[in-house]
Amino acid sequence: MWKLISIELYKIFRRPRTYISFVAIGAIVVLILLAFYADGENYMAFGMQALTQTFDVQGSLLNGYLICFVILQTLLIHVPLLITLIAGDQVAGEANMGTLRLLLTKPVSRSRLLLAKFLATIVYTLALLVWMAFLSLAVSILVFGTGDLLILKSEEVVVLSGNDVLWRYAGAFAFAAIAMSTVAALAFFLSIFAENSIGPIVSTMSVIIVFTILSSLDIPVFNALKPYLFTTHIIGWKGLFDDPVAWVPVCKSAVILLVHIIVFLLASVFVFNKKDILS
Amino acid sequence: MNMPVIEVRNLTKKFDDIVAVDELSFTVNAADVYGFLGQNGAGKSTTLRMLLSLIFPDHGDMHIFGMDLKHNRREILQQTGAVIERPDLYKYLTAYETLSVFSTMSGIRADRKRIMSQLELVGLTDRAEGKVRTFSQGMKQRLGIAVALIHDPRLVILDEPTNGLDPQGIADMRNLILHLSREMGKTVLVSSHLLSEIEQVATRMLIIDKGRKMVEGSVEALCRPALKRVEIDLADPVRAKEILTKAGYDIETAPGNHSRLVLGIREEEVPVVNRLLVQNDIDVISIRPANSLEEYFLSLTAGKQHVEAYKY
Repeated sequence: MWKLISIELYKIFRRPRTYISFVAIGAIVVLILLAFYADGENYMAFGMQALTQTFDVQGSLLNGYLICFVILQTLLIHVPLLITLIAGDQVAGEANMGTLRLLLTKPVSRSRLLLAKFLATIVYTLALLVWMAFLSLAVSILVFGTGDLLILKSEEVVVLSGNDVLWRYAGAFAFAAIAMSTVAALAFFLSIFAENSIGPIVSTMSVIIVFTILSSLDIPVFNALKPYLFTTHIIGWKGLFDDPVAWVPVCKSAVILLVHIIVFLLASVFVFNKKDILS
Repeated sequence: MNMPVIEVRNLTKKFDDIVAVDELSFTVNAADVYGFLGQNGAGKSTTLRMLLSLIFPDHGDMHIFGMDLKHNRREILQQTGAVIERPDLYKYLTAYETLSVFSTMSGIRADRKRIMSQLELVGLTDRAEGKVRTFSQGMKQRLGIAVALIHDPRLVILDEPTNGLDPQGIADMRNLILHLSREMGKTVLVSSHLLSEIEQVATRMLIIDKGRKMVEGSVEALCRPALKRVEIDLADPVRAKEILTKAGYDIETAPGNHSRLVLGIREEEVPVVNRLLVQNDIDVISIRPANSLEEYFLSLTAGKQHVEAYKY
């Protein structure tokens, strides 16, 4: 099994397109960092006008923790697109290249092959998140240092003390790993039905866009739907920045996402095992 | 090793309402180069894909190396190598990397020596480090065959291996198939839509049309020009077949007519055969020359494709 996974990883990381995502994330993070470095004080002054008088804050508010939060909030909505680029290509791309039929005439069971492909996709997803974590957290801290984290929410302002933040980020990235794996699993599942990767990529993104809109619209009809949409749970990482952390909804969201992953994976194996390979 | 390598019984596959393969039965023996002939869309690829369990049949049995494909897929594929249709490979890998990846997937870990010897077999030694995207059609086809052979399989399945090749490539492919069979003792199942190609490499052949078996027999008997193919209508074909087989005649299966035998014999043998049957109390209803195989094959494909295609 390990050999199969390493072959799939080899195939993923030998392709130039894999690195597009890494470059894209790198570019965005560096741009945000540059912007804050050049003009951060003004940005902060504008946002904080009313607050600086009423709060007693330790150190500079413009610190690595805050920038990491801004980056996460902006970027985690777009990372799914980069994940689908690879996950949606896993089976459909091989069908399109014509290599799927060769792959399946090798003495490897379809379930194992699919599992290896899925795990390789997850490794890619995690690698992308580690890269993002490194850039957004480590580099931000290096450039701007640490301090208290001040978060503006719709109804309240949360101030987290500087030494109470790092573990929250660890949790947030772990949660993001589950959330992004859910996206990967969906794209992977759709990838089995298609013979080129555009279909699964576009349909995964469409599902996410439609669900996200449903999740964020505050209309009673949609509110009833919300708990059943995985996009509602994908942003659950923000719960880790409440004080104190509301563990129950965070964990519940994580479990719901994990169930999604398992269901998508089992459905993939079921469909793939019965599929006639005509590509 | 008397067990057939491939034994297919009543294989049937429908796609929606179209019957792609219809109650097809055939047997491939060890060391045969078995030619699988039919026009495009006759069901060749579908059958070969079913033999590799890429497609699942609606019903019918396939035994390979004496094992049921339904239950022993992995064991069978371990000893089978195949190139199905276009030889598509990972464009971003080199020839060497391609063989390395697929040797691992085949359950062996080929060392450098083994990989280089495979590349030598197909004449790609000097392109070992070249990326597949830079390869010509013929080179890809040869690399595809090297991939199929990397784990030293007993059975090699090649689907239209000369498609898209230039005349030199076609000649190379022919020699490679003969080499596989004669020097390396492999059983080869090769499909084509060109009679001339099958004729030059195969020992036995099967013609299919619309998914049904039309003719099966040895290429020698079917194609040797010194022999005439005669159709004999008989009252008791079963016993006649027994007697003639015993006397050393090679009998083809006649499609769709159970009281008819088809055999390839020299002209002067016609009375001998007739006498043999009569002496054994079998009533001979008629003996007449059958169409030549080429005429027959062309008649199957007439009107659908240009006749010239079968003559080069």
